[in-house]
Amino acid sequence: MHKSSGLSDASPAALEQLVDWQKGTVSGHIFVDESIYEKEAEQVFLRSWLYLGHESQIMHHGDFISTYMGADSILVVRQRDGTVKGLLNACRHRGMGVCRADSGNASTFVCPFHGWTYDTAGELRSVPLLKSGYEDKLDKSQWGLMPVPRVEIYKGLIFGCFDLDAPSLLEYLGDMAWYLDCLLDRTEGGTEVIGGAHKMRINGNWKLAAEQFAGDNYHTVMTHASVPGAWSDPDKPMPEFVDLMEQFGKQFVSREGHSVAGFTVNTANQLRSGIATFSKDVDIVLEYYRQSRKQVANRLGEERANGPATGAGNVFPNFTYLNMVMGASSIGVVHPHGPNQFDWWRWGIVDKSASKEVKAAMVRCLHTWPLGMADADDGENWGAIQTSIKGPLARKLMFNYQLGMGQEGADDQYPGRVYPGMVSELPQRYFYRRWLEYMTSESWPDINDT
Amino acid sequence: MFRSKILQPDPVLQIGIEQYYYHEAELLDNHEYSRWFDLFATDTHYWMPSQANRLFRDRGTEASVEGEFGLFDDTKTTLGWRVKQLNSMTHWAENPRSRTRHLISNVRIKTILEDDEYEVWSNFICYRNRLQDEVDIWAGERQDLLCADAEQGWLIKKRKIILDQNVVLSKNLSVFF
Ligand code: FES
Ligand SMILES: [Fe+2]
Repeated sequence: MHKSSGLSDASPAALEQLVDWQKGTVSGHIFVDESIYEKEAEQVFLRSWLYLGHESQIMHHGDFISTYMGADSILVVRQRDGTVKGLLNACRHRGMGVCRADSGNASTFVCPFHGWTYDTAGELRSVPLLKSGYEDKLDKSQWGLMPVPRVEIYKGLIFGCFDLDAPSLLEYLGDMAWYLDCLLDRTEGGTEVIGGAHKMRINGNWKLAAEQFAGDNYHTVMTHASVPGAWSDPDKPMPEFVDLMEQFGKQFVSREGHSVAGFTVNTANQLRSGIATFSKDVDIVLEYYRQSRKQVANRLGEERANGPATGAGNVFPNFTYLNMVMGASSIGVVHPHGPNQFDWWRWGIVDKSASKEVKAAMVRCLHTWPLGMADADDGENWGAIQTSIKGPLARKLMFNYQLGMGQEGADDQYPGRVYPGMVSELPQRYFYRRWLEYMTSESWPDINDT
Repeated sequence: MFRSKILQPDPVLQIGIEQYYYHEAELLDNHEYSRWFDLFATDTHYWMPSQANRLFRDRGTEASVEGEFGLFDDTKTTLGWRVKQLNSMTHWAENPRSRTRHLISNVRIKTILEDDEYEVWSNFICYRNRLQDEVDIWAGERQDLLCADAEQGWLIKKRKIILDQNVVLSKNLSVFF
């Protein structure tokens, strides 16, 4: 007879049975179990630095965007002094959302339920019946919107954190910042986000998407097998994906759980080889990369002008990006909605200083890959996995995360721990290693080893 | 009374365009994507903006504009790529294939331009049933620029699709509208 799942709780001892990053095994339970999700909500999402938005979306005082930190609704608001605040979008009277727009500009947030009114800093400014009903005794200073206690910005990316024990954002990012610069700091003026957003609801566990951006180069060939054939132009044969994957590249992981799923180490070569000259738009963008290469080298050094630029990455736990992939870059965030559902938000990101023509070409490239041709099959996978692991047996399976075990180490050129190829599951192992530390610690999980 | 705002209806034209849309829906629901693809002009633009929630005073700015991020932004070439992908056996999102039913209604001939071009708006509901029990229902509006072609009948020169969803409530949009 089968033993019952043994998961009566999400205690540290139980969790350690489910994730063994050294052996490279992860149990299906962590994707479906309600008690594990509840623990994640408290111990991962209330502790880690979470992506809130891009500065270019809130340029002026009163500009706001709505987002989530875990499952909590958050307003991100530009302040009069130029700083950015995060506010819990829940009225202190009964919890009504005080703002239901995705973005805009406001001088106050007026709760539609009874009319408590907050300013852009979240301070409670006016309350109906203050005199007759509360005898003027309501201490408004105690009833402002709950602020996100820590908001910090890294080169345009705004992050928030609820944990006062967490290190600064810069320390949290660690070596990842060096890699993020290849996306954020290529040219003068940094980046900006393109208007419009992709928001998709997937009936899968949020970690399936996060771990894929963190490290899954392995899936590209099979999951997206339909793409090269669709692109193929008899005059301009597409290199097989396999060839692309075998181009010399590496993967980066950080002890904080961040990673770059794979980057080519010689972008100059890649630009010359003209990977994707099947489209005029890709040509325009590649030409732009060639022309801006010098500026990138001046700002970031030769190393980063030659790579490591391209590829997917993830900032633990749920900020994802694609940099210089098929002519475009995008950033995204995976918002969990319980163990079995997440929303995946994604934006196009471009160098602010690029010409209008180049930006337009980048947007069109994004509509080809990943939005046009690739996302559909990723969405299919995430939903299908969730369906197939919900059974009492399947959820007990230990899944295999052993690709490329034991080959990582220091690299003389690239910071952090580096895998000497582009395809392994090292990033996923480090993602779950760090995840386990959050899930099994009583407070902010310090990293004691090196 | 209503005639002041609406083009004098031409029943033959109206029925002709409606029949054309029913034919188009049939091609999609029968997965005859290559034949569907032939309905588009070579310089077509197939565009579905994303839809944001806006404050009332910003109403009218919900949809992303051309050049921004949309859910579809295709030329005839890239639409052709999507069609090839759907016709391959490795597009897992549609292997096995979904069952779809496109319902087209409220067909309004808005303006007749020179050169036999017609601006026609219509509403749609697309029902998708996939694998055992997955169901998606998309509703919205299509704003088409149709061009009367002597040889091929109607050609779609431009299609703007207003999908009435903010978060797209399906795992993908592996269907056409
Ligand atoms: S819930 Fe906001 S004023 Fe009552
Ligand atoms: Fe993918």
